[in-house]
Amino acid sequence: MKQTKLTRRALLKGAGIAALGTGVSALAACSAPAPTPAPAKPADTGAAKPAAPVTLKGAKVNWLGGAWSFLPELDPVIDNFANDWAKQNNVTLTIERDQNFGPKIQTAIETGSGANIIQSATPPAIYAKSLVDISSVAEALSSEGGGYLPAGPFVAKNSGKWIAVPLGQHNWFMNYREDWFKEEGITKFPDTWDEMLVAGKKLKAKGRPFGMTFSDKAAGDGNAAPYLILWAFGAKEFNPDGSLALDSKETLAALEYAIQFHNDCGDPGEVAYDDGANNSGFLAGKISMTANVNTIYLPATKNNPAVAAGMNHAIPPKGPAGRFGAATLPWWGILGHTKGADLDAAKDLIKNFFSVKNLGAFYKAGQGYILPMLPKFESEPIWPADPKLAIAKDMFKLALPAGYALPNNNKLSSLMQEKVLIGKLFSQACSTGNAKAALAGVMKDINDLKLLS
Amino acid sequence: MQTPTLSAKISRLLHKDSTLGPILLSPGFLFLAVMMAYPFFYAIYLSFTDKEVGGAANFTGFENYEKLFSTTLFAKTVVNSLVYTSIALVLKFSCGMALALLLNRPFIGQRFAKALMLLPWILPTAFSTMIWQWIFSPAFSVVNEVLVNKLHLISQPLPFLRDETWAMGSLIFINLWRGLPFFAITFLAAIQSVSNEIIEASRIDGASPWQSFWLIVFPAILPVVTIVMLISTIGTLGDFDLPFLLTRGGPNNATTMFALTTYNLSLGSGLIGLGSAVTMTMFPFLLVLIIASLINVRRQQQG
Repeated sequence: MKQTKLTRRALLKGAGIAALGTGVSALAACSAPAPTPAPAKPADTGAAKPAAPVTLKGAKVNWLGGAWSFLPELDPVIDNFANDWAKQNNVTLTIERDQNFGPKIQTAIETGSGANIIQSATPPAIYAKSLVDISSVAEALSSEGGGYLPAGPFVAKNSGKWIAVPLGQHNWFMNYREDWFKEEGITKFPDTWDEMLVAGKKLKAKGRPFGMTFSDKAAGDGNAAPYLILWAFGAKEFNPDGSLALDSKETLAALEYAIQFHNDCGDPGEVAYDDGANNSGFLAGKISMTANVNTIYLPATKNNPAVAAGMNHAIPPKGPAGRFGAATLPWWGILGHTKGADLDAAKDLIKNFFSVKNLGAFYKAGQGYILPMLPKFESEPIWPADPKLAIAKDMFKLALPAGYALPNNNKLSSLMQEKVLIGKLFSQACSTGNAKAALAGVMKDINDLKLLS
Repeated sequence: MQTPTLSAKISRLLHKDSTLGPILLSPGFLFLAVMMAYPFFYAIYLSFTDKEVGGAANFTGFENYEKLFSTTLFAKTVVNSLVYTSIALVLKFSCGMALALLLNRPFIGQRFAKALMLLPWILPTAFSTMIWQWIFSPAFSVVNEVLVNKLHLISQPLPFLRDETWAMGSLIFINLWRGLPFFAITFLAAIQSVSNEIIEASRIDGASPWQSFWLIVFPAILPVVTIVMLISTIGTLGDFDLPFLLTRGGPNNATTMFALTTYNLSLGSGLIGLGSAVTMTMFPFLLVLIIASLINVRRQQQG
């Protein structure tokens, strides 16, 4: 296990940052687990073996990120590959997982020690000053995989440089109780949001409401589910030239629809769901439809076969402006204090793990939980065999990231995503029934962010 | 004449109070200087800079404060913090005093009641908040389940965490539940230290129970009450874990407070200078309280 070099000055500086706000960092530090030791004998993940040793001997790489708490099977895929790679290249590797890793990333940045490679889904623009330009790696991977889908550079490029490499994309499928829909005479999942209203009314009348996460308490679902409606009604946060576009009649139309949808079809609690609430609600038979990745279905196949048998997935309905999917993109990046052989090693690990021949094992283990960003994967054997997850292949080119229609994520759009402001917009509109007031409130929040950033 | 050895010199020095005192205090002083004073003054410095995560800290004067004071977020942070702290303190004081007076009377199971009362205080906040999250959950509130589906007392679930007023009320309630034992036990200890003879004498002289409490017991325990209120004010005004774990400051920033806003700006958005400025705006409130309390305690001691 690597011993982190921590100078006294660095420790004091870190203590200063950590002292902000009555010990909030202490909370994070207390919850931090010990670094994960390398397994003695990696299991076979199906991935190709890492490339032959080059000139990385003696380098050190510390990897920091959150655990894949909704799908723990993904963690060993990374661990096994990285440990194999480290062994073959004589690199000292540590892997540390912490669900509240934000403070740790900042401590690493400010002290210039600790983590080298970070995995996050927070927009990388927030860490733009601290991430190494890894354009050479990203462009090589892009070239190999047929060119990243537009959401890739949108999220991972900053001022023309790649500061991160997208690991993939989470897509939000419509999860629904096919058996309950059929009981109401609905044999095909609604193709439009208007048809959804008709179906939802029938189901809610039977005590089986929908549960869309119209909430700012969910960094994942709250940053995705509302966009499916927002974009379908022609609204967006930004114009391509970077000007704000949220304060529009299209946004009000989307909100008016959402209010009706919430009142007629929704669970009253959906305006304050956290990321796990819709999963739990669906599995408990409390809600009949939600937007989610496959983390309701996969656990259900093991622990709740009746729900798994009764449910199915569909692509999002279309609205007046068309059909849209929503994606969030986890990414890997390298922190700026990584130099010399350590930097070469960090780049090499990313380049190897993210290559088409190796990353497929990760996607395959996810069974649709995380989808590729490179078109070449379309013909790779990574797609879920289960017919109920077959729509993953239809979804992966459909989704847009938060911040659309900017050509590239910027500081403001990143902060809006970090604060889950579109989730808040829908939450406020649905809980108060006043679309205009909700929009005015969120525009004030955006103004605050513009002032502060 | 024999010259004293080095060990004899050290021994003589250690026997002098003027030398031994500073030597014994120095480790603690150094610890406080490094772990508390340095971060505190560093945070003050950062609040006057444009420090962002990974960026340089350039001096910008009062710019951060000007920015903060022009945002609705900061206005809400101040109002929420003051509402939360003042209501929670009044409730903790009044309920804590009532409980202390109740526990001061002998009854069967008194010791068991005292032990049971301490439970909310000794449970880790993260753990107890998880239980409250389950109780108030927007999706699975056990209270709503009982009231709506089991007892049929109400038709719609109560909006514990999805309505602005209810969310603040829920936080205050949990703060009261968590902080009450500290108030009650401390007040009880103070009450029990008041001489029974004086209280009995007042009763013989015709004082009612209320008059005995208000004119004799309460003035005697006032220094303890002041210190408890001061400690609790500092803790409540800087409360982070409860709003972070339960509401994340929502809905509509209705429960965001100083520490959470600092966290969100510094560690969420990477705006470290601004986050430091939020922390610093809390300091004058606390300073006024501390000075007022200390003056009050000194008056009590002199009186």
